[in-house]
Amino acid sequence: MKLQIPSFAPSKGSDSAQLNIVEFGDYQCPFCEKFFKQNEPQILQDYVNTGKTKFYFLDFQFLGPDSQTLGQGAWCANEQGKYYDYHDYIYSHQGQENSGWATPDKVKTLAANISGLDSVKFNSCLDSNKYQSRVQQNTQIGQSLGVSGTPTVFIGNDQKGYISVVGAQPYDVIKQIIDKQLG
Amino acid sequence: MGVTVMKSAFHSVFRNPPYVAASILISAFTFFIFILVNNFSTFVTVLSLNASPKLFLDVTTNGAANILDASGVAMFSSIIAVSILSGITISMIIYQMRVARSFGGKKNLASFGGILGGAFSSACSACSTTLASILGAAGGLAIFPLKGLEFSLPSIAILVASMYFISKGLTESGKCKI
Repeated sequence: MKLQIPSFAPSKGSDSAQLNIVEFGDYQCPFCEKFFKQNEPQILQDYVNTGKTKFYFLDFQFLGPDSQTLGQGAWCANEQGKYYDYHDYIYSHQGQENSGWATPDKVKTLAANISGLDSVKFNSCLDSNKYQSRVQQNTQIGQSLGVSGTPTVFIGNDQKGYISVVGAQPYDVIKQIIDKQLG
Repeated sequence: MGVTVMKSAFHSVFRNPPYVAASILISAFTFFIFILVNNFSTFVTVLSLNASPKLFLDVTTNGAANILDASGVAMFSSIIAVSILSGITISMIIYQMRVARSFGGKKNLASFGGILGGAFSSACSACSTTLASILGAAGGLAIFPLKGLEFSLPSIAILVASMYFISKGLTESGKCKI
């Protein structure tokens, strides 16, 4: 499977890493939260911080209007270099799906707690809806790759192709695929 | 009356240890199938890795934990109940086929409908776009007032009814006696 990572996608890890790990997730999805808490720290520790892989998170926002707002918020935070700070904070404070925990006003309140983020700029960006099309674009990229649920994680590179894992699966599954692709 | 009929049939079937063993195995297998159908792509990926049996077990237990996390104790218990009732019902159908030389007809087919209902109400380990589009709303089975018990409880009722009809058939056929 081929995967063209959008040039605007922020990443964690070294540019010389052999492999890419690309997660498509919805900020409201409880299984993405589980992946964030259960797998992401271990992936970062074992593979990203050691220079073996790069990690990308792309929003695949399909769980209703709150998801759209959260997705746009991520790109507004990215304007200030806070994409992953936002990602980490939102998943650490995830609310019940479409319960109103992520209306534009609530997202602004949440984002105000992110260290170093300029709230005025963030709020203005979110109000402008300027990233609505990017959120939709990322979801379309995921759909074109066959993403049918979140989280879906693609592991590989252009030469070896990508292997996907759907759902919050045990870390050992992810680890074995990474090791196989590295080998 | 119904309880007496079922007690009598249960006694006939499950006094034989092989049927007890079959019932336990089928229950466990049914529960595994519920997890398999909801995590199918992961099992395929693990298979392609030539992974150890432990990894299959990890994916299975993780799938069970995800059902519990996503759907809660009531839903998880109902899925366990569907699995156990499926094991008992299928063992009784096997007994009926072997001893009474009869499948039992459409009423027994209904029990498979009950098992399918259990499979549908088992949550997968991902937020599914398919389920969201089928139900016309985000949130999967969680959008229902009873969080998906609407599907698993009828499954339990269908399986209990099937057990009753199988029991009745066994008793009335008079062929329970070997």
